[in-house]
Amino acid sequence: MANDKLEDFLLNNREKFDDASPPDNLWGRIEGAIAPEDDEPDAFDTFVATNRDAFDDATPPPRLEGQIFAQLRGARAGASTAPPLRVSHSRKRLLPMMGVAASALVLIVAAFLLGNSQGYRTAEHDLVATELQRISPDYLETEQFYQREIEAQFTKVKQVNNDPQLVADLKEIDLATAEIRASLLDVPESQRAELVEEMIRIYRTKLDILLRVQRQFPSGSKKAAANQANEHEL
Amino acid sequence: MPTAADYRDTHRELVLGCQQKDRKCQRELYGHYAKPMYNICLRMLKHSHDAEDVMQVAFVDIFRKIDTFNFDASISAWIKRIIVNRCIDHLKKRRLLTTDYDARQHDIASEEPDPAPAFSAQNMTVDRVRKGMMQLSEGYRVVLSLYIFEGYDHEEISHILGISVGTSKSQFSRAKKRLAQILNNKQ
Repeated sequence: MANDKLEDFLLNNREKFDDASPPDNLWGRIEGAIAPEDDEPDAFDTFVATNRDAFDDATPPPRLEGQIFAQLRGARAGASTAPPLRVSHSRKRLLPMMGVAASALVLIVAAFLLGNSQGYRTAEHDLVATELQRISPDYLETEQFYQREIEAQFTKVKQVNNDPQLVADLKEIDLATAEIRASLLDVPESQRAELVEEMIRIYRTKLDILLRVQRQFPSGSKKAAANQANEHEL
Repeated sequence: MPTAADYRDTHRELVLGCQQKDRKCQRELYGHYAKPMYNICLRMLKHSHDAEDVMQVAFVDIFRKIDTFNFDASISAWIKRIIVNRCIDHLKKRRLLTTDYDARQHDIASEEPDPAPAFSAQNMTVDRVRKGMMQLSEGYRVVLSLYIFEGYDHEEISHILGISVGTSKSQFSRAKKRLAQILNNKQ
């Protein structure tokens, strides 16, 4: 019986139980969620569609390509986890750099096997330079660029950190690079361009090592080193 | 009229070359897509140095993973998706997206029930629209870019950003409203 009375009461006062009103801004929120109908383009949609190509007029800097392919070359040599040069994440002192150096040495050995190196001879320097010029003028210019940069960066590193182990590793790279360079005239012509590419990659690796060493310096020179890295392209 | 298969086979020889680690093919493929992808990065990330970083990471990733590409989709769509994902990763790392997708972080004006201000053709030039988009919050700009400029639908955007379809739609609507305000100088 009590239940019947409650039911009667509810039925008789049904509307009074629905007297609350939604907030005024609710429709705005609903409209916001349903407004962008795909089949109803407005003036903005039309404008973008009409001028779509004009929005893509920015061109990536040329150095980006060099950085990407330098990193790909590094990946082939086993340094696949190397981050982009611009990103200066914290690194553990010399251990990663030694890893890079070790990778470079592995690559040097591989490159060395491409030819029958007969040892570095100063007298061949000009002959090799001529051959580089013949294969591609860019190669000679690139090699000279890296030699200059490496010398400059090595001087900076030595002024702050003359770590004997690092110096010894870099010297080994220099010796092996010199041997590869000297062997350039001994390998078949069809392989010379590839060998030069590998040689330049090693220059690049050495330069990277020097720049990364500088990033570990305690002073405010990290940013300068990072900026320098950005300026270098293959 | 090109068929879906035609799109899937675009740059097929180049892709096959890249899968063989052919450096010339890699450079050529990069040449085809560097500019449009760079523009995507700029729109999403706003800053050229961020765009360069993401481009470098993404293209290295693309060339490392390209042997997994099986021509089920077009190579351009595949590359674009990697670029977009890397952009999102980059933004997440900077802890910008998380806060941007919280509606409370957005302008009060966008919550108001007023009808969206109309876009005036007179106020729209490519340069003004581009600059206006750069004034949007990260969340607005990303959704607007993905929908309007890159052609993703809201379902795809919901997957890319890890949000609901409704959130994508509302973000898009609010982004356009805000952009209209900016272009009409009602900031």
